[in-house]
Amino acid sequence: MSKIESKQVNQPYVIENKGKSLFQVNRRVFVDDQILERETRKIFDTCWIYLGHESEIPNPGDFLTRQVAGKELIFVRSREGDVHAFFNTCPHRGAMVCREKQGNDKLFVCMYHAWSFDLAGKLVNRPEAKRYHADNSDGVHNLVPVANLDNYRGLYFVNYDVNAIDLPTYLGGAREYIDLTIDQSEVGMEIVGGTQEYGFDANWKLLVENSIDGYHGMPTHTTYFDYILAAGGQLGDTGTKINKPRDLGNGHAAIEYGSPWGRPIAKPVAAWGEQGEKDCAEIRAKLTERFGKERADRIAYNNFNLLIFPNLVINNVMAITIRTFYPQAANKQHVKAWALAPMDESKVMRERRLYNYLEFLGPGGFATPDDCEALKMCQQGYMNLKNVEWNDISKGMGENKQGNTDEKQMRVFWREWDRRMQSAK
Amino acid sequence: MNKASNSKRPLADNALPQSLGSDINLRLAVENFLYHEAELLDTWCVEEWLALWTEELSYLVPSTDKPDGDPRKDLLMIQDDRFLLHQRVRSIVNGTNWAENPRSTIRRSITNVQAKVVKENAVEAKANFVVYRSQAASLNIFPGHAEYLLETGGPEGFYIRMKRAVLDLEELRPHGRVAFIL
Repeated sequence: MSKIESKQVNQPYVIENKGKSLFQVNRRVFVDDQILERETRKIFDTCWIYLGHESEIPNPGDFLTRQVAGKELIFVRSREGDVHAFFNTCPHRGAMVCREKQGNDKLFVCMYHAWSFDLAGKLVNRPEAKRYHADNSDGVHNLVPVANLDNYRGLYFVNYDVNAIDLPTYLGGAREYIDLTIDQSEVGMEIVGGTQEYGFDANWKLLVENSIDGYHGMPTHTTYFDYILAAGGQLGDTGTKINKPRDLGNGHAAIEYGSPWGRPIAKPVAAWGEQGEKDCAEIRAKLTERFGKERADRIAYNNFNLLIFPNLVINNVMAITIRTFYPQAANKQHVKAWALAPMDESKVMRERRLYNYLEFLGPGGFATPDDCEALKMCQQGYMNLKNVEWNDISKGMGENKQGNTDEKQMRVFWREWDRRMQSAK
Repeated sequence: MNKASNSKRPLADNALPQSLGSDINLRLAVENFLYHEAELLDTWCVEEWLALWTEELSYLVPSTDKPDGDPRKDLLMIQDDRFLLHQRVRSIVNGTNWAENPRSTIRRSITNVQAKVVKENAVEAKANFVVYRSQAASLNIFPGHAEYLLETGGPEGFYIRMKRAVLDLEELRPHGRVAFIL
């Protein structure tokens, strides 16, 4: 990276000066492809990375292919109903054995030499099989599964490190927020049809920061707040008064807050009319029956933006989005976003949810394109790295009480990121 | 077809069979309308463009992996009713739509126009489009097709009741967003 001076390479990535209440991140972490290579080894190859939701492959034989943190994977439910994740590459000569985005089948047949595999990855046939004297009893000719695959409440994660800690331990305090999300339905949650896949020129960590940034809302999202006012809503918190960024351990963080918008689970707004109020009251009554009033109210009214280190965001806001993103290069990322919803939701509530989702979220929504623009502008600003080296993440430091518009939650991410990047392993 | 517009359009020749002439005339009328729409959008006359719509309306852009997505059941990228479309236009005019402030340069080609009368005063139309969007050093291309439900009337001959712009992209990369109007 020619723009980086040799003296800059020796600068720390992150400086935390508690005495001065100053927290700085060196901008080369956003532009340097060598740092990306290190991130791949120290972060993406060792952390639990989101793969997909159980509802995406509900039936035996269902599969989908997905690029996850730079690797081509097959996510499949076998005939017996077990869930597997394989590297999508033939053990013979390497061609991707599954070329469809999704489907339902009995076998994966490689197009190159027609080796075929069952949905548990086992080689079942190959032309001129007698010419192979080595048998396959040790599985050397089977599809290779990822080192670790596990799910927490229907969210499937992979980990490429054979020495990884288990998923529940890794998720730590983030489980509290996953629970709050999944508990919305007694029956189960599902991914709604339609994936928002997009990409733009900005380092992936800029989207981490942005996803849990309570400070940028008003200036960046004027369009959205104009819309709320035009819709007859009020700005600010109209439910809970909670305002506390959370450090959930292992680099996971959340901000939890009340909001001016309606929530299909189960905070009505004027636009939904009397029927909307009735529908929400019914959902709340059911939640109260299951969890008691306090937790039911938290599920119904509280919004949160949850970061699961390093690259999974669950925003439980005017709808629920699951969003994950991967670096394509130091200055490029690829984003996938889905809508998650209760399976047993009524038709009309599902319509309200989808309308809500698109009023804010996604590449055609009333807010996400502005975030995308802001992050691109940051990335472009880092062209000045040689002369302006540091980002500032100090907001709220030295204060007794941290609010959601402070930057504590981003410091949580950066500390863990830095710890992993410095580790000898 | 009135005489005035016939005289402008040599293709609608009297020598053509009646039925063919009327199909072509319909298509020409729709083409004229779509070219007019394209020009308004390419020149950022978005408020005038908004006047082309009926009161009840639907402007849809499906997710790239679900081109037939139903806004009541599926996640799309855009599903505007009148209120949202009005807000979308307002954000462009006010400049709070940061992705289009400063505005990009957009240019679209509209081709392969087809049109048929589905009931009195209602026309279904289809057209291919390619929109070139350039801003700073980057050029993004948005290829796709649009399905329209038009109602006859108004100074331009039609109003738009529904427009569904389907992108021929597997993913919105490197575009990142659709912050202008397709």
